[in-house]
Amino acid sequence: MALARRIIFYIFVALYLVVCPVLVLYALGIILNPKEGEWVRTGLIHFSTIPEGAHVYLGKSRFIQPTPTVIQDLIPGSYNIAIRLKGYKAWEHTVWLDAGKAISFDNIMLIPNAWESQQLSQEIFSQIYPLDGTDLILACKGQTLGECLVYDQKKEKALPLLSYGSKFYDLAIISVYTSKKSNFLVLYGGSIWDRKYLFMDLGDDEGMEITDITKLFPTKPADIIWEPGKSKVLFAVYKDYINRLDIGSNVFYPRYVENMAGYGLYGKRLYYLDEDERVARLSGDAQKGAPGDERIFIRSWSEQQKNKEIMFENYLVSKGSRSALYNEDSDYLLAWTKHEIIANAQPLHEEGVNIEKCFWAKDGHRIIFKDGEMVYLLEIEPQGKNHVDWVVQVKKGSNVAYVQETEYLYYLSDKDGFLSRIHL
Amino acid sequence: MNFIYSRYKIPKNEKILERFLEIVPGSLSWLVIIGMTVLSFTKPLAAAVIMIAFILYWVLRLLYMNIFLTLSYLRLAIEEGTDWMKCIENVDLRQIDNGYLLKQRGSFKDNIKKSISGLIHSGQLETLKESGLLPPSSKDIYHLVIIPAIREARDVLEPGLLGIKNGSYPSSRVLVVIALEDSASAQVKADMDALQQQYKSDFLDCLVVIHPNNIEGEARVKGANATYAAMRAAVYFDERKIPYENIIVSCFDADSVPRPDYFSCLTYHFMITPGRTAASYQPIPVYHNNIWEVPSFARIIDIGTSFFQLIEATNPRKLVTFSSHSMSFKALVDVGYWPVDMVSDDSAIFWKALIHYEGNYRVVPMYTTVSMDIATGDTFLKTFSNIYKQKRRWAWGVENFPIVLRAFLGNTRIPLYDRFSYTCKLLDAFVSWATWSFLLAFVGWLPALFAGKEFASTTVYYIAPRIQGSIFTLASFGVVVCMIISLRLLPKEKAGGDVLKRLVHVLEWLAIPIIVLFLSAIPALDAQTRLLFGRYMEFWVTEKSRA
Repeated sequence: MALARRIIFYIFVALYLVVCPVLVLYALGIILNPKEGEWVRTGLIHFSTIPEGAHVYLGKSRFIQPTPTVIQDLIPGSYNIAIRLKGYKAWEHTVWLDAGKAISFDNIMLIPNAWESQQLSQEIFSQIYPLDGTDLILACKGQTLGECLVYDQKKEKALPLLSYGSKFYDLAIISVYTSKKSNFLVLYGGSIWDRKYLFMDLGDDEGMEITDITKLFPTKPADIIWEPGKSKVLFAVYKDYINRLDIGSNVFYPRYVENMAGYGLYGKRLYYLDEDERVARLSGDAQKGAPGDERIFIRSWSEQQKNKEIMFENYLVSKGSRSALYNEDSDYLLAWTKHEIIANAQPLHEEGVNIEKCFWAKDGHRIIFKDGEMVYLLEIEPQGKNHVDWVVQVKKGSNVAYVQETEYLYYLSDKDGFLSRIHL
Repeated sequence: MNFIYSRYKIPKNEKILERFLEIVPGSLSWLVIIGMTVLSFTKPLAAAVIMIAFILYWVLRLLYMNIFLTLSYLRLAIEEGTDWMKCIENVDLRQIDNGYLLKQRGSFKDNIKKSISGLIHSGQLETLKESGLLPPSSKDIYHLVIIPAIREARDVLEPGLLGIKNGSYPSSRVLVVIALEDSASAQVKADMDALQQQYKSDFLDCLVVIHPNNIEGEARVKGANATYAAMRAAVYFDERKIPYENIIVSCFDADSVPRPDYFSCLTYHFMITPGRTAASYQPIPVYHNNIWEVPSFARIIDIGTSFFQLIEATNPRKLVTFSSHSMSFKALVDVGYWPVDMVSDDSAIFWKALIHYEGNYRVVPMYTTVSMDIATGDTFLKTFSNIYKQKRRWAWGVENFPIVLRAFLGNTRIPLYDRFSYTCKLLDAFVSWATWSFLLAFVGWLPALFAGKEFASTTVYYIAPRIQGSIFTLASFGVVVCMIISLRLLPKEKAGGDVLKRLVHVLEWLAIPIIVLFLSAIPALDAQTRLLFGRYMEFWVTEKSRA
């Protein structure tokens, strides 16, 4: 037994000494090139697609294993990739693969040859106002409040916003301000000599409550935002100051924040940039914190030393940006101007005509954006040019809504103005 | 060698060295776990490469151990039907008489087993004859069985006594000493007295030796009780002028039930071993007494212990005594009996003897079994807790490391290679015991789970989990081997023909990674951490009862 044990021991030692380096080299992508008899460091490319089961082509070679798949032992260099699946447009891309590196194309969204659109109503609408993060869309047939319906995406039905005879029935709509994940909105409208600000709760099944809060707005603000966690407390944002409005108790706090250079919401706090460009925040009960005492908001991108440019929405506006959206999954801060879309200060798309609105889609690596009357799907690629695919043409001047949870895009059809949706 | 095998009563300079060495195993284990965790976050590429190398090492070692588990099990199966009394007679006659084998007609499988067994024993006899170190006649050999007890009821000890009485070896050659703690209850004392009266005539004698409390220099440990009983037995043998060289002492747990052939097998191995008085004799411990009455995790962990001993039995050069075992009484007296201030008396006695005989001491594996109880409790949680404490006590064997190393450093008469290899074995055993499960269950996955963008863009990020997956698939082969041997090793009579019960038992093995983590690795790390901080353990009596 002792001799047998010794022999087996040495066999296992030899096995380990041979297999271990081979496995480690294999993991590092180092293989023996049989043609040249030299060790070469290779790379790999990982693909996963939605839907799965697509075939991967590298140049003219088709790989047997359908997606999701990893193609390894690739010599460093440039590769033309194509992914094909019946019923979907070919996805093509060119990448440069470095030695020992892996490129991952996660959840490539294959675009169907034709998107399946679903018409949700027989009525013709002129505009929609989505309440982001809720099931509600305010859909209007004309310019007045009386012509608006509240469409519930879950129940898939629309009810009139106001009953006939309401004193606001004929009020013309100019702007609608909403808060994420809230059924409340502020509507600005009325005739030129009688402008009004109305505070409304669209989610109240027992009857619409409309509060006229016009007297709380001495002049028209640049923006209206909600105090985080409080449905009836608003901040009216002006050029360099913010007023606080408590609708519930009808209290008005003029110039609540002064000498403000920028502002932004993050979590349950309102952050602002003071005149010295220091970050400050308002605490939960809207008390001002000491300047510079918070770093939560800038945790993800402060290392880039560009935090100020991408953190504050109106600062971005001053740089030409229209708005910004942060995605926690991918840790990207998305901003867009009229002609370009930027994420974490890197341009994603620079050929826009009139980019009005962007939405994060899927896992934070896809963006749906409305450019003029067209809606596109942009896929952020780990390397090379990002893919931009046309989705649909919508009614001129109308808004679109994308619900991340259900992955539906809501819009008004371009020719007729029917409320429609596409599952992306 | 004159060496104080204790952490107490040693010179101050040695105390500093001892304390330093106590820190080593726990520090190494924590260094491995924390170091790999930190590396997984700071240098994930390096951590992933190290994990590949480690997991490959682990699976090869697993398969390597599987081979010896299988071989050892086969040897146990071969020796199952051996007539050890006939083997003893052969040694007495100095010649192999296999004629009786030919007369016994059995199945082909039995004949093969007998042929292999005969070959092994012929070889052993030849080696003995060549050595010239011939044994005393079997009629001059006596057995001393010490059974320490403190709160065990009569029905815990009685099966063991019956096992000795009804065994193939004449029980009139066996002196049974029940080593009872003075602190035992009146009921336990009465029980032991009753046992003594009932079985006295079945053995050479049956003594109940009461171990007084609070003897100076002793800790509350089993070794102190056993030592006191052994000293009393020495007086008994002296009075009858029985030489210590002819006595084999077996120190059993209270619940130990030896196989009927245990003492004949032991006598044979004692006689056939050339350096018989400088050796311990290690049976395979099995936990069959209550194996079908305990929760699955308890069953699996203790079958694992039996497997470990089966594997160790194939490597006598590095075998260390464990649990119930036997040794020459002369060696026991020479080395100064069991340590009286250490919990791990079973392994400590081996190290003590190895140091005393300056490396010329060994453990002879015996392919017979001693069955014991699996620790239990009234509830599932209590059983878990009791098993945890029992495993922690076993892992407390790490207390031997600083003492053994201190002896090795001060004794150049033990060959350097032996000192080095024993040190490596000890360190490897304790560190791997405490760390491997953590590395395999958690740390190995950290680089991939918390990968930063830089690591996620390397080939290792994608390939390492696939390699690990393949290796784990290979490791499942080892688990299948364990399942099969476990099924064959389990007492069939208790499970009966309950196929479902046996099938469930096979499936229980699937939980082995979790069971090993909670009932092996964590108790081991617990024990090492206690030693690291100098929080010494005292003996905790495992709950053993008969339903």
